[in-house]
This record gives sequence, structure tokens and C-alpha cells, in this order.
Amino acid sequence: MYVDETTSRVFSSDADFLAPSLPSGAASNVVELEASPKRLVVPSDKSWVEELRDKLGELVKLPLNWDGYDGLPVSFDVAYFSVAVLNHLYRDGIPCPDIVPGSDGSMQIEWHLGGYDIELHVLGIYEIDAWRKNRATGAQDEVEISNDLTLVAGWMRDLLHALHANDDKQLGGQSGYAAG
Amino acid sequence: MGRKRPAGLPSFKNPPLNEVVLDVQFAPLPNYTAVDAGAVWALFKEDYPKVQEKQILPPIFTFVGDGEPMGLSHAQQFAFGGFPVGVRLWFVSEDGSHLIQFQRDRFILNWRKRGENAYPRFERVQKEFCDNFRKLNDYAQKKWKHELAINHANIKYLNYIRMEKISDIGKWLDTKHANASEDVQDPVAQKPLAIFSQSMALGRSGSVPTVLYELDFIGKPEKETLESASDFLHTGRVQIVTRFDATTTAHAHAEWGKN
Repeated sequence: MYVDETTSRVFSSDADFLAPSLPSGAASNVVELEASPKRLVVPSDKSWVEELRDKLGELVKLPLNWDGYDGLPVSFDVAYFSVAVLNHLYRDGIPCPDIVPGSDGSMQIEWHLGGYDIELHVLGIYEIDAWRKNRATGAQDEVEISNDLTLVAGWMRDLLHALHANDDKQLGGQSGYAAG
Repeated sequence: MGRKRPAGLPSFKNPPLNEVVLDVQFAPLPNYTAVDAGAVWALFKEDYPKVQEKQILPPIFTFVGDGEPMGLSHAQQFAFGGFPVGVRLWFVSEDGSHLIQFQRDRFILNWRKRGENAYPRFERVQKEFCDNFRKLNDYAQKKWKHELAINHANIKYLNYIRMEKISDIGKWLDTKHANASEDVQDPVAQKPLAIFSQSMALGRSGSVPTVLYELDFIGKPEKETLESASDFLHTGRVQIVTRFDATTTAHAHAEWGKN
């Protein structure tokens, strides 16, 4: 298990801090603070990353020349960075993407659904080539991304809306009237 | 990099600071192995004669702009592909007040309160950080022809605010936004620059009721150089001190000797 601790404080091993006990009888005039988000264990059983854990493990262990063209395994840096990207973009309701290794140790994250093709080519740390095609209009967007995922987060929202719209259409078709 | 304290920035004679952390992550040294650890220690040994081994830190990435705010923590708790290889080394000064942390993709300098030692101020801590980072970078260039390319930076202040009883917290702190996290805009480039977060936790330091107040400025410096990281850390320091001043009370300021 990894730790995220760059400080040397006793805090992390100080039971008093980890389980703060307020003085008895003082609760009514004590301001209760929320637990710090950094110390929460985030449930991740529904996330894309959990679904992709085994596949990611396989991609970083690919043998050299795995593709017959001197292919390299996906680098740990690319894999870790991709995990952070996937978690940042995660939206409940969007299916888990496919991940595909590149010959040069890079990795591609792909969705092909809801009328969109979205591909994020993770070349290295803070190096992403992002591409999207709207199949209905043929419109394409392509952009190089570093640490600002605002645009791609917008693509995720569009995709989610498209998926919901499809669901509504299907529901409407089944029941004989349009939902909502 | 040897810049002066910004005019008008609040200053405290006896701040409740317990620890200051200046942290950079760089692209991993490609050929570094455990065999090189002794040579790296030799760079700092004169001022940091004690050594400890610690668990390696996972890579850290942050994103500004729209998205899932807890993405960072998810990534940090995730492991795959076997047990991580390598260790993090602690090089500790004789009096324990300064600490250098090193691993193949990380360089961290901590100042720590030890007994009654006074906080040497950010400018001196930052100089110590930069001087020692340059030693490491020079070594990497000589040994591996490799320039350390910084891709992430973090400045963190930890305050231990001791009080007679926890119910006195309002005398010291504004707890309305005890735990908050937000993007910080670059005023020149008009785009998100970093993530600022603060957290407060109740507890005891020894037997004394204490609030641990942590302020954190984290993100990706504009460029991969030490100069750029240093600018980033400086900006973070201003943000942290300004926020600390705004979220602590006049009573606290008087106790800590605000100028």
C-alpha cells in the first residue's frame, strides 16, 4: 500500500489526531470540523480504474517486442498518469473506456459510443493528444493537453447527455411515448 | 530565486508553524539504482549526516479546471503491476530541523519545528531547497547526462494551534471553510494555475488540545526548470500566508505577534 506523506509530522501516526475525541460535555459549543478529504479512503469500486486494474497491470508487463515491431510495454509513468486522468474524468453513467498500448510505451484511452469517438493518446506525463469525432456531423476536435482537462471534461458531459438521450429514446420506443 | 519577502505580506513573530514542505517531482532518473544512493547522500552529507529509509512515494498528478475533484487521491491509492521498486531516502540534519527526501523522481525539503528553534522564514528555506536541488541536478547531469525535468510542485504549511480547550477554537480560527479546495487563477495568463486546499483537524499534541491547520498549494509549474518551480513555490507561499492571515483571528494574531 502506498502512502501519500511528504511531511514528517507525528500527525499520521498520532492516534489522537486520527480519532479526535472532543471533551465530554463540550460538544454543544465545539465546532465540529469535517474530516480532511486527504485522509478519506475514497471508495473506488465503481470507477473505471478499478475495472481497468488488471488490464493496466498487463500493459505495464508486456514483453519487449510484444507487437513484433520492437514494441515497449506501457511505461509506469504513463500508466500512473492515465489513472489520474481517468479518475479526474470519471462520470457515473459513462461505460469504462478501452485502453490500448502504443509501441512506444504510450497508451490510448478510447470511447466509441453515443455517436462519438473519443481518443486520448497519453504520450507521457502531462502529454496528451486528445481527439473527438461527432459521427452525426462529422465534426472533429483535436487538441494537445497538459494539466487542464476542462475541454475533455466537456466531452464527457456531451457523451453522457448523448447516452441519456439514447436511453430516453429507447424507453420512449418501448412504452409508446417519449420519456420526460 | 533569491527574492525578498513581498511588501505587505502578513508576518508573525511566533507563528504556530510546525512544518514547511517544499516538494518537486521530476521525470524519473532513467538509470538510477540503489547502488547510486551513497553518491547522492554524499552531495548532502555535510549538512544532513543522518539517513533513514522510507516507503517510496507514488507519482502525483493534479489537474486544474473542470473534473472530478478527488482524482488525485484516487490515483495515489491505486497500485498495480506488482510491488513498487525502490526506496525514499531521508537525509536529516544534525539537529533534526531540516530534512531532504529523495527518490528517483522526487526531491523534497522539510523544515521542522524542533524544541524552540525559530522558523528561519520562507526565503531561507527556499534557498536551502534550491541550493540542494542544484547539487542533485549537477550530479544527474554529470553522471547520467540527464537534466531534472520538474513536472509537479507542492508547498505545504502545517500549523499546530494549541489552545486551552477545543471549545476555544473560535478565538483562534474561522472554521466556516475548515476544509476547502479550489483552483487558483494565474492573474497574468488568465488560466487556472494550481489547486489550493486547506484542512483543519482536531486533536491533541501531547496532552494539549490542538488544531492541525494544513495549507497546501499544488500543481504543475509552467516550465520544467528549477526557476519555474521556484516561482510556483513563491506564489504558493503568498497564497498560503494570505489565507492563513484571513482565516485566523485578531486574538490569534496578537498571540503570534503579527507585524
